[in-house]
Amino acid sequence: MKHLIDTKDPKRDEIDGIIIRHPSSGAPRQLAEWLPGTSIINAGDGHHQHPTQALFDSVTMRQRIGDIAHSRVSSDFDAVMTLRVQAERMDGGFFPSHRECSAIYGLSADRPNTSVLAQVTNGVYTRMAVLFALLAGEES
Amino acid sequence: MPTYGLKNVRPYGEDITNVLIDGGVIAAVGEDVDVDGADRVFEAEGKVLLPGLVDMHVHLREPGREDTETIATGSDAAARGGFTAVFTMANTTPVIDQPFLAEAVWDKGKAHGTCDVYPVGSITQGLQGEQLTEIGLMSRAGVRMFSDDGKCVNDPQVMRRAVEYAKANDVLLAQHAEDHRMTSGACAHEGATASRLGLRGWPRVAEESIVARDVILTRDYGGRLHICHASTQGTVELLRWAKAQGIAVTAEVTPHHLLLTDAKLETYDGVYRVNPPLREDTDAAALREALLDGTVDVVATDHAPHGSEDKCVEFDRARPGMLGLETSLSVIAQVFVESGLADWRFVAKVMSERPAEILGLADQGRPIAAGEPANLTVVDPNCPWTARGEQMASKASNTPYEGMDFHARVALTLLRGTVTHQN
Repeated sequence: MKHLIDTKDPKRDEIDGIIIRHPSSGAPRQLAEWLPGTSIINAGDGHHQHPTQALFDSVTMRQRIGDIAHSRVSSDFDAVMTLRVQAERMDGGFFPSHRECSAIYGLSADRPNTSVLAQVTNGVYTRMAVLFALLAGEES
Repeated sequence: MPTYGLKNVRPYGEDITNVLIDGGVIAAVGEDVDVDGADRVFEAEGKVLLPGLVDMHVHLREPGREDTETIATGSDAAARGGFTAVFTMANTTPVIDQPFLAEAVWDKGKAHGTCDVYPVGSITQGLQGEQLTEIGLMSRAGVRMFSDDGKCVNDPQVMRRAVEYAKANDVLLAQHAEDHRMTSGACAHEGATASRLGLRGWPRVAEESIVARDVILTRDYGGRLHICHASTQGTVELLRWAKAQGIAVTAEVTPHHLLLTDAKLETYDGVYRVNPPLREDTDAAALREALLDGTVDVVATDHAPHGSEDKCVEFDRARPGMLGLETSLSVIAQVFVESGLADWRFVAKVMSERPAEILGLADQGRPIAAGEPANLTVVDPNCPWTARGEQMASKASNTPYEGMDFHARVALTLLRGTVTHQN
């Protein structure tokens, strides 16, 4: 297929869902507009969003420190979210060197108080839930 | 040649009068001029009469992309927009970088006959930004303006040589101000909207640094510099400074940078991708003020047709550019006249008189008076209409104003006394 818009093919049966990971920001949003009857699951679009990851990040944070909005205790808690700096960013000249980036900003999974592994497990459950909610249909 | 009468027109939106045209020239203007005896009479019923509009910046895509626009369809779009002269940029395939190519563009426009189509020559061969074109030979073939538009002449030493050489040949250099090293992969104005939408940003400094460099080159080496599609508040400030120093710089602004902002990008519709990108309210406001006070000289459309295969795609894969010829007058009327910011004299100045003056056109942007060439545009200020890309004369339909309502519309265009458009 050459163009994203060609996904919209009147000869094709209605598609229940499309999981799309795309290098262009906004591509899932455009697809949703072109295919109004189809569930579009954004698995990461360009520099824009990665919604299932955002969902399981919040699930993990809630498990770890509780209900932030209503808890008296967790209002004293600090949570820090970090992202690994991808290799292509290193090449973009944002940091002088790998060594400096690692020494000053680096975090690893074995550091005390990190939730990296719990977050990975939650990722599987969250994505299962998203698929069930959007694709299983009303009856189930 | 038949005589032509304009009955009850209001030149510049002022007092009602009649205009008689004979032999392509205005024969008489006056309340008591009898036009009923003319071979053809246009009942203007108080519509506004302006000198024919002049657009310093269009892309008619011929040669090379005749599937999206041709000199003929672009001329017709221009006539419908009230234009009697347009300057078509050199970034075609092949690039207009030799005298015979420039002559071919002019001849094709003449043969079609609905608008004078002036070729712009490129500053560097093949738009490669390295070797100057034969600016002297092209100027002797009638080329008045040189530009690598679509690309910036990035190399400061090449631009310095171009400034010096253009001065010697008394031609206008028009710079597409964009430091490409800062805009690689960029598709939207660098700001809160692009950040939220995940679109790579095109920062203001990429434009302003080139504007600053080039006005200083012009200060030190002379000649006449024109800044294409000024899009930022900072560019306005630099132009204001340069003009205060007496530097020979002029600038244009597009209708879309005056009216639209990056708020349009929310749906990722590729039709809104343009170079330079739609910016913020503060920039649009600064550009409107600059056009009002003369810091920015003219309106130019940067009319840039693209087929749907280059627009109905992912936003960062869409080609930059939007249609402008058939909506320009309506947008400018809305932003300046209907809002009360300015009058029709102002519209005549920024859309006809100043561009004709900057380009040294003796037969355009002239007063509406006996003995002057009959290059004229009649505007109906009370003609509600809705912009539709499919209904335009252009081959492409990538208008950013799809579905938008306007109030003023071109009713009649005359090129040397011949009707080139009548609504």
